Amino acid sequence: MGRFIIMRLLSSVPVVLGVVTITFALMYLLPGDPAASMLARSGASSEQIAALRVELGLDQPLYLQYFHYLVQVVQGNLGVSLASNKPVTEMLLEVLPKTLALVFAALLIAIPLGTVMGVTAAVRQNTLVDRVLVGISALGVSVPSFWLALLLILLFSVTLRWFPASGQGELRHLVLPTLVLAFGAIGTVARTARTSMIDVLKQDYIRTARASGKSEREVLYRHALPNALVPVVTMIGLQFGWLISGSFIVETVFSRQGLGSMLINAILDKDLPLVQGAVLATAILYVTLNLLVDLTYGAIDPRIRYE
Amino acid sequence: MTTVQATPSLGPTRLLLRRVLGNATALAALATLLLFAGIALAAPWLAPFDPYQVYPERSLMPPGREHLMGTDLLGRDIFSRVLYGARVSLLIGFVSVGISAAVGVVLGLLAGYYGGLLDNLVMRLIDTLMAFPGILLALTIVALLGPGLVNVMIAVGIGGIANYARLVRASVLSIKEEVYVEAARSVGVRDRRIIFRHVLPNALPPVLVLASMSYGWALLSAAGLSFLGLGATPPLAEWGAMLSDGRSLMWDAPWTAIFPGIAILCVVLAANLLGDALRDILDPRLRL
Repeated sequence: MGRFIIMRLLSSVPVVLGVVTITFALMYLLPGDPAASMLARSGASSEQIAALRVELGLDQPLYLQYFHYLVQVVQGNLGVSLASNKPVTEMLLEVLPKTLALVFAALLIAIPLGTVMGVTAAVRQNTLVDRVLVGISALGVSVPSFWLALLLILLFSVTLRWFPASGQGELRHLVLPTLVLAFGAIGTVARTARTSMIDVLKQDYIRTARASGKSEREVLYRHALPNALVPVVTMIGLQFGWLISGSFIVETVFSRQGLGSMLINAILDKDLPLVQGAVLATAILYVTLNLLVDLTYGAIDPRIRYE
Repeated sequence: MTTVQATPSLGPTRLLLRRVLGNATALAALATLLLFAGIALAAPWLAPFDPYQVYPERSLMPPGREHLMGTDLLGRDIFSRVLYGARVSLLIGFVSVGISAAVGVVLGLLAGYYGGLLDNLVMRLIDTLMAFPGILLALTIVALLGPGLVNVMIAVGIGGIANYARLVRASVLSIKEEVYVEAARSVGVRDRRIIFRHVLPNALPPVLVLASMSYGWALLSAAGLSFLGLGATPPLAEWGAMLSDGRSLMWDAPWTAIFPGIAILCVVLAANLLGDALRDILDPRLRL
């Protein structure tokens, strides 16, 4: 177990380094001089641009700049936003809880509901119920979230006036964005749960349990379900990442503040430090969460070992 | 005298086609995709109006006999724009999936066949790409290349590479242990020939499944980026961009957003269902 934890921790080091390298490279892969483009909006003189180049260390060799960037990132210093002049780290910490609230709310709906749908479909495989549930989950993964969001706004905000179409702070503001975000995840969770349950129901130990005269209910919920849930648990980390990236669009449609709307505005504004910071924060968050899920999973299931 | 009649053996392609045609869902999905492909090709003949012609006096007309799907703010016929939009949106999907598959297959082949340091490097790269969930990688690349339709295709294409590379690498690892590869190697066939004649053809069926499944994803991502204002720019008739236009008109003219969305949903759903069916037909063990 100790070896598993250490190997798994070590395996995420190159990934994190890779992510940092990509965000570092963003600055250099952009056409033009970074200092000039950063000062472009203020109409700075060439002396000011030269001064900023020195300040940013752009006059130093690339490996030194990279090392400097690494040190800054480790210290949690992600530079200053060009648009607002505020430290990027501070801005990220301000919006992060808002995005996480949305993502967790969606997970909280999608995981139980998706599991129930998937398991029900599997137990009644090839019946009408199964077909309807499979249809709903196919719809879930196929519907454009931005379109679903507009439809829900049309129905619940414009026509029925139940929930607001934008804003945040209260629970009622969270309802529609959460529903939109959860719908896609429900589809994925349900598909996984269904496939896994169908697999488990074919196993020998299920046949043995049935043959021993146990009630169908006991066979399904005591013997099959716990085993069928394992792949669903491993999906939580993956789903988390998809939900964060899904929240980018949802936040924009519902005019919510968050990591995604901030990143998209930063891209449109060409606010490079903020883009770097938001991309880095999202990827590191995702890697860390997957690491935690894997470690928990390794602790729960003793069969899991690092290859 | 009796003649021995050889039973015509079905090639893998015909066998696949026969099975797809025998599967109701796959057939419906394929028919839907073909229908949209037909619409894309025949748009100039099918569209009752010029999709770019502005009629200020016809602004925001609701769906009716003359304008089946109504008109947008500039009085353009939405039905005609949805038909023309099929050209742009379907093409984006094809180009993006093409980029993902081409680069991913090559990376997976090389990493899986040669192993060693190359494999290690490729896999670390893939791991890094996988650390950018969903649309984040595409967004990052658009941030780099700047907004625009071509850049969105490249961005979404790069965003999908990792899945293909992993899939192909895994197939190659098992294929290269097969006796026929061993046999080819032992008689001195060159690596390049082994890769292209023996390994690649056998690694392709799962790629086909992934391509079908990721087509829907690519189309959704590209439409999403256009919706965010990072992809297709006005006045281009592209479904995501049309939805973006319709967003602010949702209160007064919901039809401006509803119809392009239905078009996206139909194509993505069909691609996903076809992918599912292909997976079941080709390899029931393959789950993505």
